[in-house]
Amino acid sequence: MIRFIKYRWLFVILSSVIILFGLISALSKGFVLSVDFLGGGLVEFSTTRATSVDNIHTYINTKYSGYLFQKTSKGFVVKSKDLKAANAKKLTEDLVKKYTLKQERFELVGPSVGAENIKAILVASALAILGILVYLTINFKNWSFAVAAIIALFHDMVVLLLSWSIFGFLFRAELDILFITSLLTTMSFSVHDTIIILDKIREEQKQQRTHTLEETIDLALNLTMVRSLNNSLTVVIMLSTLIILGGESVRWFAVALLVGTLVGTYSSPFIATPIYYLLERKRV
Amino acid sequence: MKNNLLFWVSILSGIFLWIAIPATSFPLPGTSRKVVLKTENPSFNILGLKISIPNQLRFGLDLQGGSHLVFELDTKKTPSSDVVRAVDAARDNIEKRINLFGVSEASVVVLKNNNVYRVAVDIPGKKNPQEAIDLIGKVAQLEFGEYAVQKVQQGTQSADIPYFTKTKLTGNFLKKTQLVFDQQTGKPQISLLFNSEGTKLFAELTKKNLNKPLGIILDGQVITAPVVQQEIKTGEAVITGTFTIEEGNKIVNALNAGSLPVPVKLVEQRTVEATLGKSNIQKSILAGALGLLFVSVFMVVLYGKEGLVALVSLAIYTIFSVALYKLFGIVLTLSGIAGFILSIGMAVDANILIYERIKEEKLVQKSQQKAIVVGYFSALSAIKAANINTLLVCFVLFNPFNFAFLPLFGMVRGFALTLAIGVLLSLFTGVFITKNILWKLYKISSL
Repeated sequence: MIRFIKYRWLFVILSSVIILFGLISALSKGFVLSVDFLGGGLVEFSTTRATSVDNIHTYINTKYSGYLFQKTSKGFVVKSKDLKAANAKKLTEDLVKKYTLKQERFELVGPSVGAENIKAILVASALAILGILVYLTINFKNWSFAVAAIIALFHDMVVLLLSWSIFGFLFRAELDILFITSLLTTMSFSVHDTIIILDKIREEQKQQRTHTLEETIDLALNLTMVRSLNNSLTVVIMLSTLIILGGESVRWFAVALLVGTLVGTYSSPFIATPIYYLLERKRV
Repeated sequence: MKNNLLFWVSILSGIFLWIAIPATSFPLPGTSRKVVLKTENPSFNILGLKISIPNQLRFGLDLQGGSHLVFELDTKKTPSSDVVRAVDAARDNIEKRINLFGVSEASVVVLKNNNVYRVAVDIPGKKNPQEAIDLIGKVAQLEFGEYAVQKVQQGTQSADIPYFTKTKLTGNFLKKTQLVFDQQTGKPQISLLFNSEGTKLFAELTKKNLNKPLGIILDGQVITAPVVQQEIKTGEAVITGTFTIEEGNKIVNALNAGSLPVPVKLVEQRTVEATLGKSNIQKSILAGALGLLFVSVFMVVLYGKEGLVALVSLAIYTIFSVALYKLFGIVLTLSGIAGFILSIGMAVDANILIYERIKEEKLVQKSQQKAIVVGYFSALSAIKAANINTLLVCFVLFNPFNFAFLPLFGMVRGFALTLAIGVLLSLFTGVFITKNILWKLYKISSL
């Protein structure tokens, strides 16, 4: 039997280090925000093999300074706060005349639209978290379980959010509405996974096969570890195929979901459970 | 009894499988005849009722291509008691205009946020969004003006400046507008037909302004001012002017759609090319199918015989999901796919939980049957709690009561809906079907 509770500080340190790295990245480099949040416009072009994307890049840099340029597998993306409909039309007409390419996508977002959407999602998340708290307290008849699950949930969302600053810095991964959806997915998954373990702890407490709280929790963790790993592996398999085969528009979304799944799996035994242990020890 | 249950599940799965597959036909081996397994638009006649089965999976604009447009309605000048009516009228009007544009499957929805009203228009397919935007943004207010003259004195010189005063008669009283061609010149003209109230107003107007020009004003511009020859009681009129057939058609469309009660402004636009969308769909479906295959292999490797049971329930789960998406016309978006993947994880999780518990019980219990029964039922409480919790999250995110302070847009809702369907289905397949198969497999008769 692995004595997880004995090594609880190890997990606290591990999580702290990850969050610290994320914080440093978020504070110094920030996030690569999409037009959803920036407001403004985005135009995506696909090019044929013969066209040199680098040439277009230099051209755009000289003629349209201030426009962000981003290479994609099939072409490139131009985005800017000033890329309103008229400007986008001008840019497209200009580029199509000079190079052989095709406009694939156009997005225009008013500055207030993004902010309002985010506000609505935040309110919904807060309500959902409150609902989870109430439901778990009723279900487990003990608020320590609920508090532990919610803290693990916050841990997961913070880690995923901060990791996106690092992904943005390294790979220019964007923080967009799809990423927000992946945060919501992580929220559901994290609590789902935590409940399974907490339920096992409750069951072992009822059966009284062990003597101390620490032993009970360790037994429950050991018994659910295989299930946790196997279950996460199925989600990881699904997401990995999506990352490899799913195409550009889904790729970063799938990566965010993958990070969320991994951290959600990790936090159930290693964050939620030690917190439950600390809360219960104080209470008893 | 148990026998019967599995029998009915198999029948239901067969029906759902048939709904889930695309239209299929294949040649009968050895003959030239074709076996049609499913037609393009399958329908049945049951007791005189024609029931047609939807055969298309509906994909969101991010997957299939198309344009998502959001217009903000300027209701500042509208009296507050009239706002709701004006917004509804504007929505209907925008829908009419979009339909005139030749898109029938467009969706037009009002989004309310505090006191800001927006109308979201989703146009699937290849249509040029700019034309739609121009058409929607057009005010198209038709007015009829009476001729008047203003004397302007400038020093010793005086001049008569003609102008038109607005009358009660507007495009709102139109019953029908049509593009016709002049019998003699072949030039396009716009024929107007007023409704009964408009006919009355028009008769009064023409009687009053006999032998004077009558201004026909579109969007504030006088397009033509014919001299009234006689009182017109039939409510018919013709606008002649110098416009091309195409321009004439645009005016006719705009007039038929009526005028927008409030000014609109485009605040958001997302356009995805249909070709990009198509490759998105193909790649996502391939990835989803392969992912399911890998998960199946993984389950069989891990749990052997029981893994096969999980595989059966996973297969039923997938078939039911696709069939339900078709039956309810659920629009699949990228975020919906996330919900689906997560729910597959949860469906498999139910199986894994049960099997791990059974393994655990096998060490304690004397008989295999007893281990399966005890393991199965001890796993239920965790499965129940975890899934109720997920449904709770789905409920808040889906926002079924349309609360203004919660998300009202497709991205989050699509995710919540597919996840909720997935969770409910996974309870059915991962828990109920798995139990029945296990009970049969290990000859457990009762508890």
